[in-house]
Amino acid sequence: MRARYPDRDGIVEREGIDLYYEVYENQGLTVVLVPTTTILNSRQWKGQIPYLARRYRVVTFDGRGNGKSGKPDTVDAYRTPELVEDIVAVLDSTGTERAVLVALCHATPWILDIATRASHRVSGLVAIGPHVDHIAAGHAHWARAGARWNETLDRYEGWEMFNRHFWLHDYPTWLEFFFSELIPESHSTKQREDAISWGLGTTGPIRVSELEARAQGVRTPEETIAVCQSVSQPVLVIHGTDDRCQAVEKGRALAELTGGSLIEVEGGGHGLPGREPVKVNLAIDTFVRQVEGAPMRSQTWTRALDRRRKVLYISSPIGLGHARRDLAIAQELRALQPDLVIEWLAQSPVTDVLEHAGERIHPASEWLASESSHIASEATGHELHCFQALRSMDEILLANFMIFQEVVEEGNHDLIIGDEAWDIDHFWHENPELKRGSHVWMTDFVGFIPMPEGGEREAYLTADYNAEMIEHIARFPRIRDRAIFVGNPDDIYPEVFGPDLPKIRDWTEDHFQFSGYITGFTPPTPDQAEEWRAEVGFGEDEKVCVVTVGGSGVGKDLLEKVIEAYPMAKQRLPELRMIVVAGPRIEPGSLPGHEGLEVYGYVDRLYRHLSVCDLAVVQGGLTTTMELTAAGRPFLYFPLRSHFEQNFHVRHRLDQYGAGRYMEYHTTDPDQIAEAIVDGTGKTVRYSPVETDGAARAAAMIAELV
Amino acid sequence: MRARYPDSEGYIDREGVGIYFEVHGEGEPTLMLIPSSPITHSRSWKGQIPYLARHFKVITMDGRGNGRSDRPTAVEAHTRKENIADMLAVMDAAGVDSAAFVAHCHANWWVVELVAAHPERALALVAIEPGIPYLGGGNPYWAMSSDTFEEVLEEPSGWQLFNRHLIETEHRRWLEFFFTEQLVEPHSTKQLEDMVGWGLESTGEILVAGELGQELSAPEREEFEELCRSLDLPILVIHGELDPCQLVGKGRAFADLVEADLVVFEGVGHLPHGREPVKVNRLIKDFVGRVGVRIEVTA
Repeated sequence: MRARYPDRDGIVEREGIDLYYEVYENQGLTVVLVPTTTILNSRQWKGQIPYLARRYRVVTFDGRGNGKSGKPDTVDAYRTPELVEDIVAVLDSTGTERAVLVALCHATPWILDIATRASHRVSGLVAIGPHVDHIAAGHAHWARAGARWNETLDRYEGWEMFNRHFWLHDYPTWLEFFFSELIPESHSTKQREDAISWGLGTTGPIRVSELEARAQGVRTPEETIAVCQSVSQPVLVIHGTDDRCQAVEKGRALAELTGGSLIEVEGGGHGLPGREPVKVNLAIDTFVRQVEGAPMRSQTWTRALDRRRKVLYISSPIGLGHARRDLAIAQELRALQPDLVIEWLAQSPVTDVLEHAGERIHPASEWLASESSHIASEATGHELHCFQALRSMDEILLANFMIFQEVVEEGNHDLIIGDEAWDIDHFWHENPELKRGSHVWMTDFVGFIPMPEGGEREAYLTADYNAEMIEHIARFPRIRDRAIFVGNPDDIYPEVFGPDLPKIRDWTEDHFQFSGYITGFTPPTPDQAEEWRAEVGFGEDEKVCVVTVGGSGVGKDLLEKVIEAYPMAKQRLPELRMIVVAGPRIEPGSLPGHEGLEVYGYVDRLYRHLSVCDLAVVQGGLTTTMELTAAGRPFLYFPLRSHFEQNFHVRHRLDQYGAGRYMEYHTTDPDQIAEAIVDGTGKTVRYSPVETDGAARAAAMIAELV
Repeated sequence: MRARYPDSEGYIDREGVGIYFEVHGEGEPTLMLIPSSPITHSRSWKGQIPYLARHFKVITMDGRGNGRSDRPTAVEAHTRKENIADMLAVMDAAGVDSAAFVAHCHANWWVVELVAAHPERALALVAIEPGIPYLGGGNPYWAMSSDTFEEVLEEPSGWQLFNRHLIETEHRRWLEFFFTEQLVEPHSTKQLEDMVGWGLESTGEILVAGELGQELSAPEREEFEELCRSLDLPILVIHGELDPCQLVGKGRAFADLVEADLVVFEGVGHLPHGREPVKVNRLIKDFVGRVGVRIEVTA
């Protein structure tokens, strides 16, 4: 799922070639993000679009030869004038009279060309890692490989893969090599995967045509310098000092020749829009505002001692459990500091819970891209590869971070509490100069654990993500003013973060405080339990089994399987009453029915039902299973397949309490489920007690910061 | 000791009245920091100069009647026209064709008229607590005390201290009252001492002349509004929400009329550049920086 979809898209045909474009509508200024075709396409700007589109009208397109545009295969089709005219055609057909043009690498000469020949249409230029011939010496590896471009070699190693014959036969291998060189920054697995996948949007033969056309159209040094010098618009150049595609000297020269500004990204490679998206976004925004003299929004600034103490609370929308515990913490915080203003930056389904509780939801919340929809879209059946889902959520996390950053810059919040707010924690460590206020990081698990079926690759990736997190915190301890583990040291999964990395438990004990578990509610006493049973309508002689998958849309398969088990279980246990709660994201009518089976969409205060049921059947999510543990109810839990958190972290924690019966969805048939229901219903359980003061403990740790 | 001393300073002689100015730093565009003299002088920008001079050429001046400038006493010597002519003469002497203006209180009235008459000399305006006529309505205290301005009062108190006789005979008392009122923010002792100190470098007689001269041949409301509407330059208005001298409604109305950016300072009085210098400095820098680029683009 993308963080943002275009308001309209379309095709413009130019001399028989279709060009696919996207328009993100907004008032006023237009920013055109030009693709570095044919190697990349419009998706290369995925980190920029959601942010810029909130401020400007944004146009992007797939250049000929890649993405959703036509893919001619002749050399002539890729001559520079054609590629320049394509940009003009997109400007025309999207009704863009004038714009700031943004380009990466070899798309730079095209926008320089438009800026000088049709200067009235261009109000400014941003060139990232610009590839402009002659203005400064290029890397020697290009010259060496270029000299043998046409030769057939026995073996192709490294830059020798820059070779027409190699490209015609094994273009994907070139891409792998190329992007590992171009994105040299550590912990860049996702950016490299992205670039390769866009690179595969074209073919070796097309790229050969494009390269050979480009080589024929190269200007003389004098012509090139004249073009650069005749640019009258403001120019911003952004260049990484470790750019192995285009030497940083080229960026410096372009800035010099055009009278532009230069931002050098020390240690940055060639893929800055993907690897340093926050810095690039802010730089483009500052530039565009300057170029257009865009008015500052009217604002209010309150002098420091007149400000009320203000907290911004970010509650992860993945699963509903965070909302409940965060509300409990907020209430405890207010008890300690009654004058505290707490604003919530949150999205559905968390906002539903918060609104119900009368909490103050920050208006920027409505701009957030949906994380829970993304997670749901990544699930298939009773399976969710949550590590990969988190990785592919990169553009949504970035888009939401940019919104968050605006909120804290304008809101002057004293304290930011992020309950598994991955975006904030990650991007503040990547851009520590942007930190505002004190920051509390909260989580109920530490460490990505590879699923065995993911093999070596996944083990490598999880270790890389863990290593980045460890390095972030070692280098910038000031970003997390408090780190709170929602649980106890024994709950920590007894493994290492990866090869040559510390034990998760040791590291976590060194870097976190422990609040104990936070249920967000107090389980009923035996007397209360009887009252609650009466209130929710459970009969004395009934054995009530509650089946729920919480707020996620992922659990439909489990519900169906359990429903299939119902008649068998009912037959063996006649006093059985089964209540299926579909939740907000599953249409109850879409589930199969049985005589006597009750199916509901929403049940008010479901925790009461769960606290007094005779058996619960649930997924492997932490919140629900721990509610059942705290209430001492027997339950069966089915972790989602490939979900490392449910399969490792949660299961380990439940084992500490001796709670729940672990079941594997894929290897368990309805008959076995029926048997487990009959076996488990009404069973007396002895779990270790769950603390009830977790929210108060967490609040006390947080309150010290305001 | 000052945080920064001028790179050059000079005097101009305008028809026998010497006007002192300072030049700090270099960089484009040039900034003219205009104090609301004669009640204060160029030192009222002491919080801005060291910072802004690192980015721009900054010129400030002592308006006639205070600081190192001469002290004419006639009301006719303190008209808006004379003050405007002083600013232009300083720019000429410093070799500055055009500049961004930063003005406080009634100095904004001068700058508005300067820009209307000489648009080519102004690139932008940062109007801090703009003290301009008509717009947004005035503080009722001013109106009330103006009625008794010329009377000799028995035991004047409060805003009645705005009185010719009192200001001329008890200059310090007026200044202490006035600036105590303006500094609504707690813990402002140093700012109060500064303002009173700079005010005392002039005299009560000159201050009265300044007040009266300012109003001479004032335009009609429609005329003034038309003049504001004719302004074609970027304007930033900074206004304290609690300013007793110029009510915030005036800043809002002005910003509205000239389509300016507006930043309202909550909890702040009449002297944000003295009391909230960091925020003011950064706003000026950001605003003028943006304006500077735009000029380059359209040139």
